[in-house]
Amino acid sequence: MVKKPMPPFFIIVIFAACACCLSLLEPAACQAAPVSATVYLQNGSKAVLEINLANPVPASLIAQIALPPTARIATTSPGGAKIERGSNSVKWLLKNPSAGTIYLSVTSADGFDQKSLSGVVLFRRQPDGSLVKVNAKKR
Amino acid sequence: MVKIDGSKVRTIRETKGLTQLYVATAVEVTTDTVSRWENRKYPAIKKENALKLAQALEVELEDILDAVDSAPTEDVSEPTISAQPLASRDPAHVPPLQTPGKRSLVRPALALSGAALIILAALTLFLFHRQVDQEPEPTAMALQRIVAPHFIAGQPLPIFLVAENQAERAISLIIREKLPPGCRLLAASPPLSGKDSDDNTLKWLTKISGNGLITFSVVTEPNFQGSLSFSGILKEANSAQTAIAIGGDTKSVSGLHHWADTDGDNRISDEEILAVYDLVSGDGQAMVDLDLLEEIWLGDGYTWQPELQKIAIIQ
Repeated sequence: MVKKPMPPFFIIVIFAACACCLSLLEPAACQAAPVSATVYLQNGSKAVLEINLANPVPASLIAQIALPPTARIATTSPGGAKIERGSNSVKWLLKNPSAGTIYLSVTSADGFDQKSLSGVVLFRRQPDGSLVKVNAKKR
Repeated sequence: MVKIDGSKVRTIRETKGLTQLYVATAVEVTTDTVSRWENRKYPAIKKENALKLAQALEVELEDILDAVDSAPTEDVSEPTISAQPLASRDPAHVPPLQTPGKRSLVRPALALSGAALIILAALTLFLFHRQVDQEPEPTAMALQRIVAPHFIAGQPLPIFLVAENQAERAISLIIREKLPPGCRLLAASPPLSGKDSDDNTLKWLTKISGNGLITFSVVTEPNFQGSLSFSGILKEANSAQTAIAIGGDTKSVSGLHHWADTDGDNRISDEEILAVYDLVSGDGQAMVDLDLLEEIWLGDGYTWQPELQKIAIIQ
């Protein structure tokens, strides 16, 4: 029994369908953010910002944890952070980070509620250099 | 072949602050060859190389030729058939393939074949020359200058030349950047390949694959007032392509604000410090005082103290 070859018209249709699917999938892949973040409260007084970095990793980024106005900042980890009294927040400048997870934390002398906690990560998108602000999700 | 004056070549090269490597790359020969040319009194070299050599040294060809015997001489040492234009070959010299009794038919046929060959050769030469004479394709390399809109006189001002190589191969580049009057060079990364002290031109011969960064920093006298205007060109080494101007920023004006404080609000914002770190994440870090920059960012602002010639950080 001789198998009937597929008509050229069907081959064109299959190619067109594949091209459409790829064109729909590609922007989604390109738009996948290389930076995501989560902020949460540990032991009632320690705010933790968990940052996940995927390739291509930004050359540098700034991470910020903002505590409620009533929570006095006691310590930061890692140290060397910028403390902004006005907004009661702590900022870190992270230089040449690698892909993976980074943990930053602020311990307060006072207990506070997770609802008033927030975290932000700033970086410049390449190649246009536009500033991207990623608001940390709350756990 | 032409005879060049080796000692003249060496003198011009050394006066212009060029290295043998720079010249060798521009002419597409080895440094040994350049050294041999310089060490012999009147070496005979290909005219094509002599022209490239003159171009690399930024002089006229006559300036490097042997003054006694500057007329071009024919190269009799390497005569080759391929060097003769096909069109100049005389078909009458082709040995005739004749058979007795058919002489009258063979001769016109040979003449026709010869004419056809000449036409073919002329056509080939025409097409070849047309291709050569065409406008060179634009280089796959683009270079953008990034310089802050303002700077503090007497303080270092970094200038970034950001290279974007769109080709898949590494490209050797000759870069010339003219320093404006009123400033002097502090440092450069990668190091300079040469410096023309006459017109204050910095020269690099560098190979770039993908994106690259060339950084240099300048400083003016503390009492300098006015603006610095930068200009430069780039050219692919070993290429017939013409030089193109470096794009991007050209001017920086003296003032009271740190060069990284681009909006002049006396503080280094998050965006401003990220912009600097993104720019110097590779080799350019040595050109920028990142510690001072980070200190300003960590503080609440800064002020310039002219009497102390320093930046005071507001905590």
